[in-house]
Amino acid sequence: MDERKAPVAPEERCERLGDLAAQALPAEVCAADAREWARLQDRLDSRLRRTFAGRWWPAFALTAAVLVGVGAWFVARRPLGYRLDGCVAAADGSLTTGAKQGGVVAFEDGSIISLESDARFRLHRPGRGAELVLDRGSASLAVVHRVGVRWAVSAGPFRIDVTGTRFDVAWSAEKDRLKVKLHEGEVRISGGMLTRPVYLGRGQTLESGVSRGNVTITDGRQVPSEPRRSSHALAQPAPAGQPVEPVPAPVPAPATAPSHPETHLHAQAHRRLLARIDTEPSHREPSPSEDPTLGEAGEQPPREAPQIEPVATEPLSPPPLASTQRPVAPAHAAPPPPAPAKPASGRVVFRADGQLEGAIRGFAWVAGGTGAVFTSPSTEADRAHLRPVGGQFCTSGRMASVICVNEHMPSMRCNWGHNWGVSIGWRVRNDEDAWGDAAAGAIAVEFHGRSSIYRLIAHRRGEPDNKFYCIENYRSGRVVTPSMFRSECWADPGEALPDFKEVDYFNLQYPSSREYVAFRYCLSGITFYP
Amino acid sequence: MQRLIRRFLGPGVDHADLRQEVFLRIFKRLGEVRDPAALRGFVVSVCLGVARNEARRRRVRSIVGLTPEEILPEAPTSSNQSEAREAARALYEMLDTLSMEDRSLFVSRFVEKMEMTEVAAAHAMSLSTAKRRVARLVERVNSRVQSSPVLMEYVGRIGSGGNG
Repeated sequence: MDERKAPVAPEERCERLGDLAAQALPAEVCAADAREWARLQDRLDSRLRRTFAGRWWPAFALTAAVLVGVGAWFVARRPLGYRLDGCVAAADGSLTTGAKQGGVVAFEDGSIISLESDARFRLHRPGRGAELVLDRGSASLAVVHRVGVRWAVSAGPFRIDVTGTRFDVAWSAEKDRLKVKLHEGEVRISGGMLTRPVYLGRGQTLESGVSRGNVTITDGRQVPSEPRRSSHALAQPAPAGQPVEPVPAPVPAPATAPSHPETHLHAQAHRRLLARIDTEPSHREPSPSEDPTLGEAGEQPPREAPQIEPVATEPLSPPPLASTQRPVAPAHAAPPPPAPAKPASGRVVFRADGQLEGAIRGFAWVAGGTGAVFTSPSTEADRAHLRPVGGQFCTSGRMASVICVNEHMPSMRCNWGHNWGVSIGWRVRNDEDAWGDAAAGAIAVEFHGRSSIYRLIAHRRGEPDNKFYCIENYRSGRVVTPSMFRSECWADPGEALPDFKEVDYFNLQYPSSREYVAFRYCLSGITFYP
Repeated sequence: MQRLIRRFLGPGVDHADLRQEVFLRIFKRLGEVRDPAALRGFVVSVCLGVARNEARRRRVRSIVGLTPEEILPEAPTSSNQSEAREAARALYEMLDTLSMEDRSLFVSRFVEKMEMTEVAAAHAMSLSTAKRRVARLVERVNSRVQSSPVLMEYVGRIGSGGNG
């Protein structure tokens, strides 16, 4: 008993209890224990070995991609380099050319600005592209078109936005006169008294003065012997005695003239257009003799055949709407010029505002059936008055497939009437009247686009919209005469079109089909033959 | 690993599920081990963590009555002495009264006979902290042993020269 009661140190007690537990629960170390440890260690080692390369390569790749992106961004944002020739820098940062010698600014992308003598300007290079601030003098620009690059010219209160083009610009603050003459492409002019931007097309010249409050646009394609006349004028009403009475900017014509009664007529766009028409100030026909600023017509050689109709005699006015539309207010209805007696011939010129000039004076539009969804033009207003892009009238989008019932049966019906396709059309006259005695004897339409069976359609004034004459599977550039147009051409030859005199519009149709398709096609030229 | 778990939780049902849990945790966290020499300590700490969690669950289950009572089954001792079996049962009943950390320290230090540095590493504490905790643990264990006649008898008899 004495031995049992011998004192035991606390630590020793714990040791003994530990031994008790170990004895009660002996180790069950299997023979493979050491091998398992070795295997586990191997796995750990291999994992550690691949850790650096295997774990961090995505980070390296991402970092490299970011660095490349940032580098590309910096390169893209780098201001455009240029070289000056014949220009002298002033203390205020502006550049001037000599009193008797002009200068040149040559940019690294190939764009060139040629400045006349005694010009003062500044160059701003905010990033891609450049802005020429013309304090005084004349400059000719030849801008190389690049995607995402913006070029602009500021002249006094005016601003000219450039896409890719060649044009001359002159600005004199003393004379309060801006003159822009476009040789190629298209520019957008805004500022000054222009309440809306003005698009200037090839061959056109814009002249404007701030204090005079007028803008004149002349067409360089006129016959040299005739004095230049304004084709249309813009901005606020000018005082009496000014060369051109200001009139509204070209008002988009409504998207009438569908090839079928179920056509979308874009009613909202029409209402907006009508509202614009009603709110615009009235205009009167300009008097050529009143325009003293346009005496330089002789400088411009003719670019088209002499048969081209002079375009300066009629102010651009909104054409009357179709019978289903609200008529234009009488204040706008300037009497149309008498139709020329000789047949129209020659090429049609596509103007920047969607107007057609040359052999005819009409306007282009786009219409679609219920299954058409347009991606271009993007707005209904643009659709109603199709603007040329790159000198062509284009449209694109998607078209639902035609739905039919009772297939392979005599009672088969399809919704062709509603989902008929899309059309790029053009009126032969701005007043939407029939062509009349000026009608051509043949027509050729140039176009390109997705492979499909295109239809060339002619509609006669006074006939229902669902009655028209067409040429199935029309090929680009093919010269066709009226007799080749047939009614019900896709099912029955029907009757032939006697002539073009009663025709009020044509259109090139991309018909719908039994498949869901994406459409894209462009009208690149129209030629009439006597 | 299996031995450590068994000695932590005491004799009872098979711990295969716990072994799997240990392996899962090891392979999931293996990337955290930078020094291969630390692998053993890492595995021990994982085992102790899994065993602690299991002991907590068992304690909660016993409190809410999911099991009738935490009565240890008959321990399959290698010794035929009934006194040793009784002492082992009393020992684990006493360990149940300790905190999980004290229990873990006791198992690693006095049952597994780990060095103090290993104990400290397995419990993620410094060596000095481990020494202080173990010292406090010894005091607690002694106070509980003194209140347990079976353990006092066993410890005194072993200390007097019995071989257990």
